[in-house]
Amino acid sequence: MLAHILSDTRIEPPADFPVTWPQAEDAQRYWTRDREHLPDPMTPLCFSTNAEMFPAARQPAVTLYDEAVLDIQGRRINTYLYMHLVTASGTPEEMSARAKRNRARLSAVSLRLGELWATEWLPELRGHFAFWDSFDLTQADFRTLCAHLDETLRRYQRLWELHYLFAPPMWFAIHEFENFYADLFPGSTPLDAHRLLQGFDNKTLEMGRALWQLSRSARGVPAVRQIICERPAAEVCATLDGVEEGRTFLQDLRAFLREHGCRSDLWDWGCPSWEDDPTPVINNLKNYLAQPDRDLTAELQAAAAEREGAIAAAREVLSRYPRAVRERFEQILPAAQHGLVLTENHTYYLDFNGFGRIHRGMREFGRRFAREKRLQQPCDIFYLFIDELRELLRQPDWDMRDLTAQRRAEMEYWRSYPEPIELGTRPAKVAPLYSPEARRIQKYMNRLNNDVALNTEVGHVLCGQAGSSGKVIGPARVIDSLAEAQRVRPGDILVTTTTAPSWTPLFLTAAAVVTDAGGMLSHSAVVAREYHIPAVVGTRYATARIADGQLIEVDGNAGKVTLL
Amino acid sequence: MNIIWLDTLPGRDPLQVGGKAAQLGRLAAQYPVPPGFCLEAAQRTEQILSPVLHAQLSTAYRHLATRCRLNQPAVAVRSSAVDEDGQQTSFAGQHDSYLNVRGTPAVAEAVRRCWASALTERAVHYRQRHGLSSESGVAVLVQQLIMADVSAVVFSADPRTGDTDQIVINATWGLGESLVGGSVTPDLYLVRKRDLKIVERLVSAKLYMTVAGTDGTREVAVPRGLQTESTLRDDQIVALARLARALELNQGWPVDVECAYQDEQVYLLQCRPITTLFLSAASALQGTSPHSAG
Repeated sequence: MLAHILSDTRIEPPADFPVTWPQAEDAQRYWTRDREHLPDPMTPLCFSTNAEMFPAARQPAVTLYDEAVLDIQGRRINTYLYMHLVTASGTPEEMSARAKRNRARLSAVSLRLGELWATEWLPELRGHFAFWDSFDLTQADFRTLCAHLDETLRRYQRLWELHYLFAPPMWFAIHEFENFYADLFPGSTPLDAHRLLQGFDNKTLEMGRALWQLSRSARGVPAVRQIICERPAAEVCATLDGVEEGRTFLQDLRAFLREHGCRSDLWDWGCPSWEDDPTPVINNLKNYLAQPDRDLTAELQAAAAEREGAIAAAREVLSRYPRAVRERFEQILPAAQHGLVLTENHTYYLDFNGFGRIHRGMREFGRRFAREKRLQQPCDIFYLFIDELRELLRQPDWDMRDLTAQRRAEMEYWRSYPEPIELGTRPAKVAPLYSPEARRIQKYMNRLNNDVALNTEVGHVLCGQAGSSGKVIGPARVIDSLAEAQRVRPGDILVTTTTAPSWTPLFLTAAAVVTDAGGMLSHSAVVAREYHIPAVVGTRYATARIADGQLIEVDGNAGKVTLL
Repeated sequence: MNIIWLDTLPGRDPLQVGGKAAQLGRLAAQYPVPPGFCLEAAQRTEQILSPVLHAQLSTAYRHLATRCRLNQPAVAVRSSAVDEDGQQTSFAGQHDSYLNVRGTPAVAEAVRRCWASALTERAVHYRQRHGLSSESGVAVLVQQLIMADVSAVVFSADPRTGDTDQIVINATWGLGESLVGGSVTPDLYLVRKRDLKIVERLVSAKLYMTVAGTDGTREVAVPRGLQTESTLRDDQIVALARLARALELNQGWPVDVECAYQDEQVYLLQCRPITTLFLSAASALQGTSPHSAG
């Protein structure tokens, strides 16, 4: 009987979702989706470039920290990315020794997070950016551009290495503090613990303020304000260019895009960036222009003051606790504060500015091939696999227009398809791994809460995780992409699959946030807390169950959404 | 009735301050005993603090505050009976103690309760069973409460085996109540007495600790990361063993020492003869534990 319960399960995909595995043994492996980062179909170029980088990119972290996840394999099935974790294995003694080393190393590195970021990781990142920025993409001859691609890919792998070097201590620092706080203050929630971490400025909040500031300058110039409010988003820039005041404003807009334009909706760098198409920015400006003034700096200061109050209250209680407790608290509090800032900032520096430069380099090939009529448009380059791109560089007469058009259509076809969350063979038991990073990866990939899924909907209530405290009632605005940003009106509740820092501007307008994917530490929850709006994350079905315009109640403390 | 300070000559007289306080008074001259004073022992049938005594108590508490360099020092208020702490009898836990008491009104109330508890049936019964007079006087000791980072009990001889060359140290996080009360499995360190060599370190998972609240104490969970960390460093283990060895020499018999570390400073809180040592040694010889009987 036990054998029956504990046996592995072969997952049968739906008939209209045919699965062909590139390797025979793939069917025996367990493949899941990361809908928090990649809810949409993935561009072939981003997928295949990443696939080439692993497992080499994880190697430094595995060596240095004895991380539990050795490799993350990817398969692109019907345009969706499915991932399989290759994890460390050994006898119970070996695993326990490994876990111990992992903890000791991460503990030491996590206490130096702020310092390492400032003195090692960020300077190295800036060095890579400087390399890319000093190269003139448009003027380079073709051969130089090809050599630049090789160097770019080499540096791209290094970006991933860095990502895996600082993510584990970052997660460790935050989890360690959450656990410590929960142990010290029984009955407290993670939201209480995070009150001690909030109110520090980060690159996401900085972008939000810069965009808001842009809306205030537009508001002060009637001609500019009128153009942004009344023209369709796609025409705004051209129309602004036609008038004197508009040109002045465009300079500010371009400066904003130079700083923050290296980002797309989510994490697929094959998707258009704000630089390519500033529609999301324009839509946010339209939105902001209708809103009265607010002082975001003062709001940040208020959040900081609330944080200091919460820290002082904790210190007061701990003043009578053993010194070892107080010392540990004072050690891991700043580490977690650095860690939380880093969850936002690493996305800005790495996922946006770093990977955004890969996007730029690839787009330049696209621009040239489009000019030569080998591609329909520059961004079609992202519909090629990296091997095809390399081949294209060697074959001057290849025409990729049909192939890329077909791929684009394929992605559009699958986009609205509710893809299965898992494929292959589900092991009888998915053991939680020892490191906080591995547990996060498992969580992204829905490998820990499969049974929780059964309980996420009770009657008219959707259960998720408490992401940010507060309770609010409002009409749901179900949004698929940032192109729809202008539909969110003040008082609306933003309902979406997941959010990246690019979505943050919407948080200034929305009264609350509800997501399908994510947890306490996903960008949506972190930023909702900074903006003091309620959030319920990881509901799984919110976008499917909630109709656009439906009145809902969001209870950010309980992690519940009630359909009214 | 008088106020008697621990570190004065009358503070060493068990007839005036009770056995427990007198013992501390004798040690206070040589060892780091937290400062404190006693309300002199008296036959007592009522539990009311006279206005005169209340005023004396208030003055003494203010004086204690000056000595502790604190505005309102937390104190421990304990009864100290004139006939306790003999070789055969330990009164540990018999009379209630009040920990983390602050301010004169709260101290006065704790004193009143100590008097009252000395009269409770439980204590009277205990005294009768041990052949002690049920009318002995009780003093009350008011002593600075050390906000212990680590509390330890040190035996200058091994009470389990009677081995007089083995010093046994039990230590746990926070105040000593979780240790004395037995709710925590403490860290165990064994030190050889003749050369103070640490022969064994057994770090346990200490799930609870006693901490001071705004008033009183409470037992709370130890955060996971600290549960299995050693409470004492090697140099602290040796320092405690050295202290116990010196106390044994000073007293003339094996001792059971309660002490605490606060901010790297060690405090001596209690020093008693090991009342069960010879009994234990006898039991050990017979292969039985003295604890297995009760």
